[in-house]
Amino acid sequence: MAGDLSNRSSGRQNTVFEKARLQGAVASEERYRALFEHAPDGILIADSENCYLDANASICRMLGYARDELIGMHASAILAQTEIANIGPALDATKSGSGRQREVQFRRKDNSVFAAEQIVTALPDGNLMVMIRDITERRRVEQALRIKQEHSQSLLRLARRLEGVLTVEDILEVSRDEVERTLGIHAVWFYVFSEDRRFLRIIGANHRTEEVPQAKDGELLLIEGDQMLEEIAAAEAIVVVEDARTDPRTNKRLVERLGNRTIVNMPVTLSGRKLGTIGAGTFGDEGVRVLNAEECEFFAALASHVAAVLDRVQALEKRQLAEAALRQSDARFVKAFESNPAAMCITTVKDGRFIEVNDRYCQMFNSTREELIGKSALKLSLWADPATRALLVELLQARGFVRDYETRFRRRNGEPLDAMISMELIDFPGENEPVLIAMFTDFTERKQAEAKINRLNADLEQRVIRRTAELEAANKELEAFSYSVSHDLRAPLRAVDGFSRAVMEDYGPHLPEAGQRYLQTIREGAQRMGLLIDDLLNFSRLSRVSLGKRTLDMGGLVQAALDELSGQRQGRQIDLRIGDLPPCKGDPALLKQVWINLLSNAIKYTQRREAAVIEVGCTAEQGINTYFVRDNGTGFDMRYFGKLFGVFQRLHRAEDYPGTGVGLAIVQRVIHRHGGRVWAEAAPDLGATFYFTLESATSS
Amino acid sequence: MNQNGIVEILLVEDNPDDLELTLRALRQANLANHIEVARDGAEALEFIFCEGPHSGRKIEDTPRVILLDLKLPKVDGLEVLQRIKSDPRTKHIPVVMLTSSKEQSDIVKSYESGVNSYMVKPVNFEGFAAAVQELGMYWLLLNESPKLNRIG
Repeated sequence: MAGDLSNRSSGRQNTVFEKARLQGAVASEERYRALFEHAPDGILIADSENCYLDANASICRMLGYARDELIGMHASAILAQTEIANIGPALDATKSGSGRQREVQFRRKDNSVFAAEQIVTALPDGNLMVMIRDITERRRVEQALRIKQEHSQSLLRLARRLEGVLTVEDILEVSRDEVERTLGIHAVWFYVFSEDRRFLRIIGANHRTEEVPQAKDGELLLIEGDQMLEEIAAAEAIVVVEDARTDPRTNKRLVERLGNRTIVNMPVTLSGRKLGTIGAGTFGDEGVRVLNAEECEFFAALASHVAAVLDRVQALEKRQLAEAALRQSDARFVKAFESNPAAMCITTVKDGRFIEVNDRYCQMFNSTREELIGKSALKLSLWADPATRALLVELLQARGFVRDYETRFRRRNGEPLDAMISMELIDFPGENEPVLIAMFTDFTERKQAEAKINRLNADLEQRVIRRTAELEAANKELEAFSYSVSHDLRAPLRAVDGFSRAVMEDYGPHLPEAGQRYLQTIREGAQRMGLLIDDLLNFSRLSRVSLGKRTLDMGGLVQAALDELSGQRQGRQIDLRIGDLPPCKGDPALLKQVWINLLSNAIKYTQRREAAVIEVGCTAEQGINTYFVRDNGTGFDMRYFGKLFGVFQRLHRAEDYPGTGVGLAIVQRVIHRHGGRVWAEAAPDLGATFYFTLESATSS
Repeated sequence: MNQNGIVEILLVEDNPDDLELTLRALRQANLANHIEVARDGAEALEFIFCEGPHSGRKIEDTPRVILLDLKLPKVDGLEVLQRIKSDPRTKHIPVVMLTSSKEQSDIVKSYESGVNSYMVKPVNFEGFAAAVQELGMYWLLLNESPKLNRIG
């Protein structure tokens, strides 16, 4: 090519001068040739029509053509399509001496395009020298610098914006803004470790869609058992899932539902302590988005900024929570004190000056808070006896507490208040010395009730004593009465009987028969009255004699009774059937009387039976013996059963069956005094059975 | 009191009816010849211990038997009994309680005080008369009293 050039020049200026110049030029030419050939920039020599006449090695390399291929080639063949329209104007501009340097898009032999800086110089011979410098690398560096700068600016903005942030949500908001602006990724979230580091709290979960990826915003996710979370929690460096659809670590069901594509989680670590991670990712149509090294670096830097702020915010939140808890706890205790159903007050130890009182205290002491606070309980005379307080304070200082001390207080209206006081010494905010907290239980009412019960008891005792005395007096009176009945009532009867007899003896022969009969009737009346008096006395005596209980052989007792009744049995044919009579507990004399009365009745009321049958027996059950006397005598109508055991009550006429009507009354009284029961079953003309129960001798 | 001053029965009875009937019964049994009657406990004691209207009497001339009612005006029968039985000069005199009272306490107290017999007066005259007559017979005719040295 250089040869061609020299040839053309020599062809036009063929002079000696020129020849000499040419000789010098040849040496120069060689130097230029070497320069041309080895220049790092690509150089093309074109004619005025923009067809190439020569090309150096660099341009051949740049364009991928051999030198021979380039020679004769028109400029349009190596320019990008977009540049072709510019060829003409550019040529004109070059010729006019302006616009020589500009950036041009070239097309390689393989059709790839690259940007290059082009300087076109018009040569003296009218040809054009085109110098082409490849600026791809420079561009790349420039771009990298620009990105670096953007990242720095982004981080600077982030840092500034995070300065005043108070919540994790706000940190996320700022972080998201910067990630979106700088990396073009819209979905950003935090995973923050729970206190015990067993959970990750997700924040920003519902940024992209209403549908929550794994949980509600703020929800705690259990790390253990979730492969992805386990890896994220453990990782000390970025965890990248390029495409969630194909990555084996992801939950495919979830990924399909949510449309995750790329997922990136960067540890948020402060001084080696991992607080959580910041995540970013793409979904669905956004496609896969791989972060390059610079972006990872940016993301890591962002994460470290976040770490510092997150730590600060968490500490703040923790403190706020603690303060809130404390405030709540304070409020609770104030409430517990003020609304406590027990009356309470807090006073100074020395003079009992009120520091705090609760509602119940005011109510109990008939006072108000305003009336009490700052005043002394002693000066208000709330202690019935101030010495008691001194004593209790002494006790309190010796032992540290006083429990349930019963004493008397005075309400503000002067009424007495009996209460139980418990006290304790406590340190109290705002007081230099320990103060006294006291609790009161009002038992005035209980005390009054007790007093009332005591009064009633005393009254009752008095009444019992009085009634006992009255009963004793009545008993004595009854005894005196019985005595005088026994002694004095019989004397006139003796006179009636005795003098009637005297009249009969002395004047009988002078009396008509009717007179003698009348006298006889008078005597019978007197004698009958004597019997009635005797029976009545016997009966009343039964209530007064004491029971001498012992084990009794009832068979023997029945035999003894029958012996005594031998007179009454005289001349009678009686079939006596005496069964087994187990022993019982009782008074022998009184129970013998019972047998006598019952057997006597049986004998009496069977007197009109040709074949009288009297049966005596017993059934024993559960420590109770039921004895009975059965006869086949006259019996009685059960309608009159109610009168059977009454004193002087008779169911038969005296002419038919003589008697005073006291026998069964005595039976009933004796059995009742033994704690037993007595009853009868009978029917007119079919006989009667009398039963009575007594405690068995074998029962304890 | 009879003429020769010998008293066989001292009857202490305040009730005039009982007194008459008792005397009638004793009379019918021929036991009424030497009877002294006292109408209350005080009179009985005056006679026994020779006081008041009986101060001329000698205490050694004791009745053979005393029939004593329990319930008496002024001094009651039980006290009279105790006075008789606590005095060595009179304690050998048989005393029979003749009374309407069947009270166990009266009977017990009487025996504790040394009564020799206790008889409840029945309402019926035959019984009463029989009892009085039997008593008189027993104490006057069958019973041997200790012989006292009357000369002293």
